[in-house]
Amino acid sequence: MTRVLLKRVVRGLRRRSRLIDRLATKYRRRFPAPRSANEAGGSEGEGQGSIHDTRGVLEDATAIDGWVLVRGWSVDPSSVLRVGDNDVRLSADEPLQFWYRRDDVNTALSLNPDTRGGFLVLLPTAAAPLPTHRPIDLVRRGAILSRALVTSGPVDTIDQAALVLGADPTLDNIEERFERLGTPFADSRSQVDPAWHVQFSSPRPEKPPTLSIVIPLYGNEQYLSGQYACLATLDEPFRSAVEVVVANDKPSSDLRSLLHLYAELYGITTTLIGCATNQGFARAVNAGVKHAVGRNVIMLNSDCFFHDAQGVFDLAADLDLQPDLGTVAPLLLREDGAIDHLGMERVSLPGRPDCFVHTGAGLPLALAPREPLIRARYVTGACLAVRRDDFLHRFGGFPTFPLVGDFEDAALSDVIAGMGLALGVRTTVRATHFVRSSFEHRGDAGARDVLSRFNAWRYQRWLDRRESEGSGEMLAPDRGAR
Amino acid sequence: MRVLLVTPYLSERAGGVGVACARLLTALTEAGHEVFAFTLGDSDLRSRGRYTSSEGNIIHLRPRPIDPYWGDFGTRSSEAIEVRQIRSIVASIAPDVIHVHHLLGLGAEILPTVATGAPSAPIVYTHHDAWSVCLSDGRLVRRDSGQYCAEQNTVACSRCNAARGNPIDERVVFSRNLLSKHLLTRFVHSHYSPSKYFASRIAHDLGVRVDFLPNISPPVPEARPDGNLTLPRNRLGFFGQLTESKGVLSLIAAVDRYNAGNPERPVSLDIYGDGPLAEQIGEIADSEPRVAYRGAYPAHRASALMQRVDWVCLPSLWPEVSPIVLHEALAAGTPIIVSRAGGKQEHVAFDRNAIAVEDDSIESWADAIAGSQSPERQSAWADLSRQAQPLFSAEDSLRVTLDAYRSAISAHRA
Repeated sequence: MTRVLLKRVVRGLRRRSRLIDRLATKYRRRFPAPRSANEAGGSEGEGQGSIHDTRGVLEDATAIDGWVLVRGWSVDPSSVLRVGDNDVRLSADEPLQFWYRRDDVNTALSLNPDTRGGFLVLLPTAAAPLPTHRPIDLVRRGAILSRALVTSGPVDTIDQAALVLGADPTLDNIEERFERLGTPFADSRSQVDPAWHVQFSSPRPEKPPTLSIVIPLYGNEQYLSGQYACLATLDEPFRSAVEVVVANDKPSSDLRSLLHLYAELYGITTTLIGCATNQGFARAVNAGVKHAVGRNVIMLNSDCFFHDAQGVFDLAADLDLQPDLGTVAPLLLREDGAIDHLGMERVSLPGRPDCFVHTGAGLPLALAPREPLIRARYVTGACLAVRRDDFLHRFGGFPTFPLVGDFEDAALSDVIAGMGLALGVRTTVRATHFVRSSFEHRGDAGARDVLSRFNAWRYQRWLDRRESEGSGEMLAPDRGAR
Repeated sequence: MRVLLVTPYLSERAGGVGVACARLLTALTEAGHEVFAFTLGDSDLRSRGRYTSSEGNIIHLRPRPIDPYWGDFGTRSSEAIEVRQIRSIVASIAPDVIHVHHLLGLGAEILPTVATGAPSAPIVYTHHDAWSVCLSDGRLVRRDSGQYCAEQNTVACSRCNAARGNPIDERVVFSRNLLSKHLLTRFVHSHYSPSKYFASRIAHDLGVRVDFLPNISPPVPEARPDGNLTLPRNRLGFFGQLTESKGVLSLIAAVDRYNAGNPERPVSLDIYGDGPLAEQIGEIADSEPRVAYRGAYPAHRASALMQRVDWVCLPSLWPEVSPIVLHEALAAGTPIIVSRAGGKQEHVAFDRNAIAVEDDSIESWADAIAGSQSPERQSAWADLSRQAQPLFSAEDSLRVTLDAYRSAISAHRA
């Protein structure tokens, strides 16, 4: 009887093993092992792919700022991640990690998520220092199922953050999860990053430009030709008085050739700066303004287009003539011609952090105010004119707490208003801003929603800290985020 | 005068723009002007560099890779070194005037490149279609509704393009139109179109003045049709590219409809040309005794072939700017059947050298064919033929072109 039972058990185990083999094969086909770990030079028996078990796989381990993001799956809830001498349980309750479920993997492998199937794990390296090429093992009952080497190649921090934040589609208590998550991505990046460097600079005119257009760029280089062509419509001496500073925030894009072409083609003084790692909108703009030489600066989103280039000088003139004006924005339109922005208003929604809506958004242009310059409490960061010295030294640049360009414009508005300066919208200067095109880089709608809520939550924390330290006083941009 | 032509096409085998530019180059050269041209080269340029000038003053530029964002329109990726090289070539030509005929294939960057190469030379731009304001092949036809387009609109343009299998969103439409507008308004000094209809539409959308300037007319053959040829005048002819937009299938259907209702007075249809529909047209001709497919024809024989038919039909489904076939038929002395829509009707005088079709529908075409067979029209055919003359002679069209150049030069100097 016992022998029969044993045979059955063995047969069952073999059947289960074959099933898992098939699933694993299917899984590997769909989620092939990344090259980076193999390229890291692991010896035989150490590199990724050599220690693979059908009960669990580590896909990769990537260093992000002060964290390591580990991706993989395991069919056994008792599996652990072995980091040096530490064993980290694959559990949402584990203090040394933040664990996220991967439903795409669970679906592909028909795994029960309750058994800790597909996972994304964030390991704080402060708790377990992990130099690159250090192995992380997936261990079950003392046996290594899979191994990944920590890599530190070019990492798109924002994409990785979007992946983590959007990994769990459950929005319940999401703000609580943010509290737990803390600030692994935005805060750990240094505020004054010496890594921003000039990648290309066109010949400088004899007379330094008085107006700088700073364009933070994250993969929207196809729009640059329209922005340059617009500036090219300026007659002299206006054209020589303008410079373009492009802050390329996507390290994988080499824009030197393109910017060289546009500078040559349109005769616009151009500087291209870049960074080894993605820094986010606010830091890109701040670095761009630092490299600008103009007395006034227009921060122009890559997907924002002036209708008439003379408008850039109209905005600058407002700053020159009205000392009480801290910043001025154009009237923004959408690509369909409707109004997009006449300033912003803060709104409260039940169960969610406060957010901002654009005044007049969606209305026909015919309903735009007739006053040439209107005041607003908040203005969007899509297109803003500021005095360079004000922006750098009085306002402290864009606050850097958000991931993706979001809420830093509201925070900058708070800083400017807190100093008793006015914010204006010049309705006679028109520009078109594409609605949320930059967010399309950030994954699907669910992930973007989570990102927006994350940024809103960060903004509220920034405000709370600001109030506790005394309103009206400028906060250093990174102070509020900590 | 030293003229630099910039055109993607410069051959009588390359459609309307190619024919117009080739005739302009010939006319200017024969009139003693010094003409240079930038045009598209083949992909297998013989030179190792980016240019070849194997045809005298015609400089062939390398084809540029298509930018996936812009598609056929707008910018094409290039290099600063190439801009500098083309600029230096233009500077060494030192033209008195630069006449740009299209940007298709050349890339929008060619405008600032040539403009900065010869800053003292004005740029005259001929809009041979509405490419500068219409992403739908520059034809000003709404592909989703079939209506002629009245105004540029990002949302409507996006829908129109989706209907023709080019799904682009409003942002692409907007950015492309904006780029086009900035470049054309900044670097072009005088805008022209060989169609008043297109001139007014383009002026509306670009916000610039666009004047009428005819293409160089084809030469009028010495031999004109004999007005005493035997009645009835029932031989219809189609000439041109065999594409759907040229309406050849609609014309066949209209002929079929007319013949079915008028078996005692049938008409025949001779089709000349080549294109994607050639095989289909050949099959129809094999099964339909009243339809004959005559194949492709060389441009210099067009007038002679048109004299073999009694009526030249222009059934295009888009407004057309200044159809070459129409001018060749007028030069040949063959009356025309053409619709009242768009630019097609600008170059004819209805009831003097042409019969009007109310719209581009098959029914209207069948009615117009019936009208051509009426006893009155049959007896008046000799008069119609006699009145068939190009609106401008070849000499006149060259003269107004040179006037446009001189006007642009003096305005630019001022």
